Amino acid sequence: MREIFTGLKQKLSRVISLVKKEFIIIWKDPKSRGMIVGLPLIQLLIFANAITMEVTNIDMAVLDRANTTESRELISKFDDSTRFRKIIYVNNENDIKNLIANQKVQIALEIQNDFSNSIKAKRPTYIQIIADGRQTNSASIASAYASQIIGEYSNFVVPQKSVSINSVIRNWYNPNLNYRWFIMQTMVVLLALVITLLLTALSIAREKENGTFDQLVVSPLSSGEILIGKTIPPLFISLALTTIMTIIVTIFFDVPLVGSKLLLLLLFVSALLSIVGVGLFISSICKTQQQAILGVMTFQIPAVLLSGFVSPIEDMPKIAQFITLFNPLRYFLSTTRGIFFKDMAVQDVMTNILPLLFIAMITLSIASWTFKRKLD
Amino acid sequence: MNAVEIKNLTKNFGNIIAIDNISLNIKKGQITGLIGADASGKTTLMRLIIGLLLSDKGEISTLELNPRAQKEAVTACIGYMPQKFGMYEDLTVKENLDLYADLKGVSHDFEKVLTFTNLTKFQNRLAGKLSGGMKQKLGLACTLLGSPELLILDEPSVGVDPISRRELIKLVKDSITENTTVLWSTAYLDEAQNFDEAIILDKGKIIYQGPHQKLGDTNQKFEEKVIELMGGYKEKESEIAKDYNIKNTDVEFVVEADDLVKKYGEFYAVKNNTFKIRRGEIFGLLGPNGAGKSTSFKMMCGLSTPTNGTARIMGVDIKKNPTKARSNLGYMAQKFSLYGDLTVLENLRFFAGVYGIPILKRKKRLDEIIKIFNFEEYQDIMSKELPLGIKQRLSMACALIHEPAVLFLDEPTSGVDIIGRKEFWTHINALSKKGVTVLVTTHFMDEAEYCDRISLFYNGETVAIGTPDELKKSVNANSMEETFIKILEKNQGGEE
Repeated sequence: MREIFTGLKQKLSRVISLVKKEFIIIWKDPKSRGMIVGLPLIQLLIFANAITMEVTNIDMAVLDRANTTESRELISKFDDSTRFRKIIYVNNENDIKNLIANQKVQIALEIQNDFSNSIKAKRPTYIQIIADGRQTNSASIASAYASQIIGEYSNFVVPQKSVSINSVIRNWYNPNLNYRWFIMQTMVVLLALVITLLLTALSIAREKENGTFDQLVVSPLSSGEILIGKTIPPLFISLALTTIMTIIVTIFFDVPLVGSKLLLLLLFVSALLSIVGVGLFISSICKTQQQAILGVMTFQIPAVLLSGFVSPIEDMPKIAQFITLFNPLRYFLSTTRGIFFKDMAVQDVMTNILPLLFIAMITLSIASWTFKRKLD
Repeated sequence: MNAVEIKNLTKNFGNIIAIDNISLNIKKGQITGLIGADASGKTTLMRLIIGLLLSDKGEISTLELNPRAQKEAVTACIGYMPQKFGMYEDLTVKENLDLYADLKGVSHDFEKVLTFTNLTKFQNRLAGKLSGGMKQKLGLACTLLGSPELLILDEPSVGVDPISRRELIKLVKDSITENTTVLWSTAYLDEAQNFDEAIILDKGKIIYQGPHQKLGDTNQKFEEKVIELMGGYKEKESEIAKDYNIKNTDVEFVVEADDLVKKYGEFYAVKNNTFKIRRGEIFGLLGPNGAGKSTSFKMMCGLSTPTNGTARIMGVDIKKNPTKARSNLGYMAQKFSLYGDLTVLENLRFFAGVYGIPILKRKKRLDEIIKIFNFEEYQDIMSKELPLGIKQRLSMACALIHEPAVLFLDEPTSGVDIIGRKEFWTHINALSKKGVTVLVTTHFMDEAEYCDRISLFYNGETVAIGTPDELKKSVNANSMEETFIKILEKNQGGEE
């Protein structure tokens, strides 16, 4: 019994020494210090203002063959809309072609010359919307806005006599569809991912480059102890940083945090732990810091693409959906969003935390196993 | 007639003085040796001579040209072989030669150079698959293309086995004309006898220039004189060993290698390596680079998993119970491998913690170490900024911090000057008298004399094992180098 106790004490003392050393090294290296403090905060501020998927400032070409009161009235509706910025009047289809081809406008409207007559005669008529299909996303959004405006105008000139169904849209959890809420919360997660990966992936690779890893291996530290010593400092630092970023976005950018803060912290710990595992795994198979950076890239891009940030997971092919099950970012991102905006229930958070812990367990075990194997 | 004339040359890198007001002439048509430890200024001087570096002060004239202003004219007349010669490992010998011939714009007639270097048989082998000695020969062959007037060779013989070393110098002597000047740098003092003239560098200064015979006709006398010129060395009692306490043990053979084998694919890096080291013995693994001594060493300390066989420290299998086995082990790596961003004190503190010195005793132990190793003035300096000698002392301090009973040293003296080496061995000797068991690898043949027993490595195999005297007697040789060469010749005569 006594022996086990002294053994544990020695283990603990070795790990503490390693943890202390890691902190000193991370802090002393000006590069990693910049990476820890400067980089994420600057990026958070820049992306808060730069990234948006909203489509505003649409420039539009109009070929008005009718040139009547009605057609001008319709066009003025576009002018009034905040989405559309500039309206360019053209005289023939060729001009439309040129404007769209040169990306001077994103969308064009073509009004037939029987537009007003048809309306007066209560005959159906058509307006052609031409969008730049090369920019798939903004094309569909811009044409949706355009057809919405046209629909409203159509209701206005020909009020439906019979029963009509009107839809009222209400956006839950983000009533004004404030795009910044969405982006800021995502940025916190993505930046946490980048920092944690870099911190961990570089740590062992750097020791290998400097030959200090051999020193560690030859010391009484077991590979498990090295792993723990290498896990705690980056976990602690990235947790602190993620918390600070969360505070910044809630206080300075008014992003609501309606869910439990304790659950959020628990989520952060488990998500960051799983990312530390991935980082250490990358680090354990790399010989140099350069390789480690490449490894981080190789993991990071698919992880972001398959996280549900770029496109909904449900829309992905079956095989990609299956892969997302092993992507820590998937759980990290959706659960953060859930806790931020809608007070996600404890059991729902837990069903997302469990896979994260599972991923952490697997990656950390592989990393520790690879240390031993790669000694050769 | 001088090939190179240098007047009052100075070169600094930041705060470090690499070349300290040197004036020298290198005679045309001679082989001049540039002898010195790492960081003594050899490479810097060579690079200044061929215009790869710009001097801070002073004048250089290379073949009566200014190496900076007339760089192209200078480059056309010289052959330069840097320390790690840039050979393409994925090209064959012939393809490498073709490439360098094209770069130099000379004919592709390699017959002579291939015969000289004995590479004719291997011309279709990939350069990466050549042995260390053959790689150096190929590098030399590429440098010799176009018959340059001035050959600048930066440590061509470092880490090469003694036979290849002899062949390299012979090769250079045979392939040059009367008018060719050779500047050959080396860290080995015993190479001085190969040169017409020796220049000995120490800390950026020339401490001797002239024929080596003037200093002493035997290697030993020469060495003694050089030490005198460097400021002298007095043997004194080792402070490190004085209060060293090790755990008592009943184990007779403290370190055991039992039939160690390391295989990479079909290639045996180490074959059937067996030895037993008694308590307090200094055991040397001796051999050229690539002979398998490093791999054996790594298997002994658990850095590499043997394909077969077991390594035991104080009777504990390093594979089965690594933590226990290693707590008795002090390890010093070949190159400086402590944390450069940590100060001396932080490094010591870290290793004290990792090697399980109890917190309450740690402070006392650190104070002791700092006193014994004279770190008082250095303790708050980042260790990457330390001078080479102090770095080495720090590595040793970290290895000894927990008073291990076993010490593993991987080429501990490579790059260290002769006085530093003497001092180092004084400590090691004193420690072994206290009962510390030492396993050491080295490629300095003369250092074998410090060992109680040695194991000679060649091509992954132990070719001989015994005390230095036994080995010397067995082949009637005077020096360790001669012994090695004779033993190898007996074992099928050098390289295939």
